[in-house]
Amino acid sequence: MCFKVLIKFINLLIKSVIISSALLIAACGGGGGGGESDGGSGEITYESIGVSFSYSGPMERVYKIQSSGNVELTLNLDLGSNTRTVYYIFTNTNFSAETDSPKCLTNLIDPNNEQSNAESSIIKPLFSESAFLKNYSKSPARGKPEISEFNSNPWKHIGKEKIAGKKLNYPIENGAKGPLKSTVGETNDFMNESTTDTIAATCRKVVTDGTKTLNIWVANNCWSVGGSGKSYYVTQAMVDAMADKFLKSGTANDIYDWVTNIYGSEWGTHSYSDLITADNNIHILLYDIDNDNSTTGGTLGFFWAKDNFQTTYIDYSNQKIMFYIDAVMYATPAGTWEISDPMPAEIISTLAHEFQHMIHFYQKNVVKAVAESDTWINEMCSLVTEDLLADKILVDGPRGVTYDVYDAGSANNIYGRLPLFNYWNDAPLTTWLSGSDAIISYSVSYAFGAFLARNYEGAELFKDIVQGVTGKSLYGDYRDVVEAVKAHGGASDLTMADLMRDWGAAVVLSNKLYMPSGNKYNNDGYYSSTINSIYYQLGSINMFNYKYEYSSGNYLYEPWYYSTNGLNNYNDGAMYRGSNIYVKEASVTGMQSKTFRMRDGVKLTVVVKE
Amino acid sequence: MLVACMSEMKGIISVKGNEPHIYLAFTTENGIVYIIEGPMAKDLREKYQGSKVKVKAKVVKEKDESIIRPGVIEIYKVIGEY
Repeated sequence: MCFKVLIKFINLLIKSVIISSALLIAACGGGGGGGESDGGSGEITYESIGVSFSYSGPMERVYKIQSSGNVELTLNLDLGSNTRTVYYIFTNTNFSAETDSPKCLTNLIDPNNEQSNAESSIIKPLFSESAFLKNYSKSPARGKPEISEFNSNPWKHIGKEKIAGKKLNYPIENGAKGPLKSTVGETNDFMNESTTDTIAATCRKVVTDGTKTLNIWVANNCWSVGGSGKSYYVTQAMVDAMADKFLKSGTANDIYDWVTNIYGSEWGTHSYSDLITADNNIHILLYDIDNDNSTTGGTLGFFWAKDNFQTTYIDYSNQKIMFYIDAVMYATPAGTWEISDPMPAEIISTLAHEFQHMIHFYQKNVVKAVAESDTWINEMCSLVTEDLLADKILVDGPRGVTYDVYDAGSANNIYGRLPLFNYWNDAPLTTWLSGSDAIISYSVSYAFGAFLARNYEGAELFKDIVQGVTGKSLYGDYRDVVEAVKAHGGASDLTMADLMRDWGAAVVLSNKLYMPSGNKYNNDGYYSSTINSIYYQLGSINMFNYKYEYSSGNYLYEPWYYSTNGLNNYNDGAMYRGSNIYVKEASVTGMQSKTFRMRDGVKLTVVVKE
Repeated sequence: MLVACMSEMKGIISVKGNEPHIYLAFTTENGIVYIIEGPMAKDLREKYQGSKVKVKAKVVKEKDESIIRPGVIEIYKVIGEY
């Protein structure tokens, strides 16, 4: 999609309207516009429209400019004597297609009007060319994005040929027949990616809260007695500590209680013949995922719904409600092993993350009989679950700020998901990137989910994203998010495009406190929500507190932005579907006049900051 | 039930599920979800994820209402976006 800069700039007939200090500006139609080649199929025409407004200060202002169709939008922003930072945030509200990236015609006809900020003129690599891929592939990850293949069918071994009697090397008899809880010392060969890819393990802990039973298994080669070939081994004390975090007697005191209170039960009754029956057992298998013996990063854990199926339908199902956790990283100490050490703490957060996936599968697919959620939604829910539980499990969540610090923390923060988001804040939200780029999608999904949770009632919102709003249909796509937001304070006519635009404004306003609902990230304290008397708290976020080394010796200290000149060289002229592009002009005053050429579906939001 | 004939279908291409066991899906206009298999799947994911497309495809396996798993299709050609 090449944007050919064959500009036939026609002076614009502008009808302007001045709305002082308005939060919402409706642009009025104008006269003839410019045109350009679309690459051979004809000339694209643009309607000229204009909008003017005066900023009266002193606070921040957000102007959501309405437009439709292909437009050349002339914006006259009168800052008067105020010196302010102005962000122009472009949103491709089309979630189905890329489009031509917007252009600043003002700069195209005046090449000397370049911004002085060299950094903002740097053209970022395309995803597949990112240095990140080479340097950060071993960052801790939930799931295993590095091995994902998108020609995959997670149920690829399903089929009547299995029912017809394909030999099962490791048939498990107890799954569909009302499996009982395991006993400590019991052994089992867990099937991983096939019936012959197995993990020999022993049950090391069985604990119940009176209703549910947790069974923790440890691969024999990762156990402290008899294990071999690993840097660190799992001990009984480590198993006991994990059990204590996940399930114990009493209410509202463990991951099981806190997560199911939001999303519902992980398994239960159903009417499908291919799924196992409920038995109130949950299993965790600790093993060296990918057999990499890594102590510093890699895959921390995953949930795979194949184990919820009967072996007559998936021959390598373990017929258990279970998830998988990396044993070596869980056992990795910082001095004497403590569960609060960095790697064990990450593993505990992973339990909450994977548990959401487990529940998501049951509640949405099985109970609601809805298409499985788009990946960005499912992963967003898990990341926000980590966020919601951070101060309960005593682990810093994806926010990257100490769990009991509810303000936005300190500057130069390199932790959590948001440093990467700051660099890739123009990546598509609703598209799940492939291979190692998936970690970019994690960061974008979390940033958006964190925004939603801090504006629309946190845990209550995410409950409805998964379970659906009463009386509303579920779809498994962005419509589930929009309906849930509407039920938790969003306007009745709110759209996903509105959320994308509000999110963009919130990102650049996150170093300002007490923004209005819909633009919040930071109130210098926590955002709270309550379900069934359980109180969830989310700490504030300031995107300007994060530090990211995007190339050797080059650091980013705020959300990535382009100059208006950089905008004109953006990404080979293509704007990702469902994405935002941030343009910044710092320390400007007086009348700011810009003309932007925008394709249909691209919307402009202007933020003025002190 | 195996359905071998090729037909034109309209729907959205998306990535569904949780990492790492995600899959490419085709959701028809009336909400029926199919897993996309076949040699075009990778290309479809990279170029058409999120797109509403009209395709020429073969239904390899129809959804059986008694089981949870989706049906399966193989897409041979994208006729266009709509």
